[in-house]
This record gives sequence, C-alpha cells and structure tokens, in this order.
Amino acid sequence: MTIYDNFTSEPMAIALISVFILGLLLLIPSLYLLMRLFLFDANYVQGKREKQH
Amino acid sequence: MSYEVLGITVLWVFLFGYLIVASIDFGAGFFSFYSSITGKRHLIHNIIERYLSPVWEVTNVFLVFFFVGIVGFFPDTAYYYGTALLVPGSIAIILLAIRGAYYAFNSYGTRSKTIYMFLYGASGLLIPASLSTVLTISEGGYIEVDSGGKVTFLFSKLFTSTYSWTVVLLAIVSVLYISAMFLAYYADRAKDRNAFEVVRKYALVWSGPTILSSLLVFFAIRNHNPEHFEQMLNLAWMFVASFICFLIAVYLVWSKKRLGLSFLFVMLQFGFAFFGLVPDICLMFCIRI
Repeated sequence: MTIYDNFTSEPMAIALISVFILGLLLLIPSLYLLMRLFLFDANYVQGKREKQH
Repeated sequence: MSYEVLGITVLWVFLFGYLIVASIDFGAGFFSFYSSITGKRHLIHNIIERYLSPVWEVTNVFLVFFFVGIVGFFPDTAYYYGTALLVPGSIAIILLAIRGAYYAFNSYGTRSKTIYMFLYGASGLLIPASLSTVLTISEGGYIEVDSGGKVTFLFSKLFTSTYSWTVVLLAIVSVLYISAMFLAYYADRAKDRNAFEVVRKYALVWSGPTILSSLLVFFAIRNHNPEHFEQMLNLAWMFVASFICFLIAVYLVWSKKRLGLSFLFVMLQFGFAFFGLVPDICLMFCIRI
C-alpha cells in the first residue's frame, strides 16, 4: 500500500493543504515571536528581570 | 506536484518539526530529573526552566497537526494504525497528559516533589519510545489483513523483533543527544558557564551512542526490509551528509565555539537522515503489508 492508494478526495485534499499552509503561516511567526520575546531575549535568558514599573 | 506528494511533504515537515521541538522538551525533562539525582540540579535547573516554561504549550501543536493531517490525507491509515497503535498510542497519550500536568503544577503550583520529578523524567524517555513504534510499524510486517479485510496486529512479533528495539534505542538516544546539544547552545547564550560545562558533557557523552544506534538501525532495516534498504542505498549521499553534519556539530561543541551553528548542524543531521530514511518521497508512509 503506498500513498497513492486510498488518498482522500480532491476537494478535501485542496482544503487540507490550504489549511495546513495557513496554519504554518500562523505557527512560524508565532514561534519567531516566542523566540524573540522570550527564549533568546538577552535579559530573559540570563534571568535578569527588567526594572519594575 | 501531485496532491499526494504535496500532502505527504506537509506531513513530513510537521513531523520533522515535532521531532526537533519535542526531543528538546523530552530530553530536557530527563536531564532535569537526572541532575536532581546526581545533585547538579542547582547548576542546570535555571536554564532548563527558562527554556521550557514558555515553550511546553507549543510543542504538541506539531503533533496535533500531524495527526489531523495523516487521517485527513490518508483516511485508510486510521483503519490500519487504529488497531496497531491502540496500546502504544494510548500509553503515549497518558504519558503526555502526565507531562502536561507536571508542567501546569510546576509552573503555577508551589513546589515539586521527587515522585513528580520521576514521572516527568521517565515520561521523557517513554514517550519517544512508544511514539517510535509508528515508524517501526510503517516498515511493514507487523500487520496482517485477512481476505475479509480484518486487520490483525502481530503484537508479539513487534515485541520480539530486533528492528523495533533498535528503533526504540535510537529514539531514546537521539532525544538525549538533540536535547543536550540544544541546551549547550542555550546555556552558552545565557552565559551560564557552570550549566554549560554540565550539558556540554551530556552532549558529548550521547553523541557516540547516537551514531552507533543509527548504524544498528541500518543493519536491522537490511534484515527486516531489504527492499527499503536498497532504496536507501540509492540515497546514500544523504546519510553521508548527515554524518558530516554530525561531525561538524560535535566538533563545534567540543571546541566550545559557534554553538548556534552547531545546533543548526544537528538539525541538518537529523533532517538529512529523516528525509533520507524515506527514499522515494512518494513511498513515504506507505504501510507495507
């Protein structure tokens, strides 16, 4: 059995592919923001807290 | 490009994303537990916590995408895998729930107990082991379909085959390796020398076993599915490239410089191996029965 057997119907395939690509477009910028704001933020990684306002 | 190829490519990309992100998460959990036994927890606890607390809620997005995708694109896989994955899949989901609970209690609660730490650390190794059976089963020989279309899963065969155990070994070892390599990079970014020395040692210790267990998998595939092995040999350059990336990554960690680049090479190493394992892109995820 290969991927060409029992593939889903064409409308479903188009819908899935477009939704997945939209999902990626949402996921990648959000991961980027997560990294920018937290993970690799110079103050955050070193455990320094910004001054309390 | 046909819809089939496009679909499987999307799925494979998500699975690769999950492989990297989840490995870091699982391995970090194990190292966190391990360091608390060996009394080094105070050294590396901070960087692990700082990395995991914003990330753990994101990790499983990749897995959910993959599941929805594979059932959506290839409805029949649900039919075959439904029987086969009943046990390992349920175990993995229960363990993921335990992990999620640990994160929630640990970040919003007060203090952590050793028993929770143990469950958390153990789930970090058991989840990849149980999830890796998906790839083992896709290699074929573990599912039987009779003339009436009834699917039987050869449970004892899966448990006694060398191939499935080598894959489990590779899954566990590479989780620890990926995670240690990432944490080394992260500790370096945090300019935390003490933590860096500890995780650098973990990374170097687990690098050798990673290569050894991937060699074991190669030999096991040759015995288990010679046809697939032949196709993999046609893509031998990808595995050579993967090995070169491995050498560069380990060298950079060894010499303690350019650690970001080093982790990039770790990702390339697994990318080459991952996409090379499935030789013809159109044959990806075929269940060989």
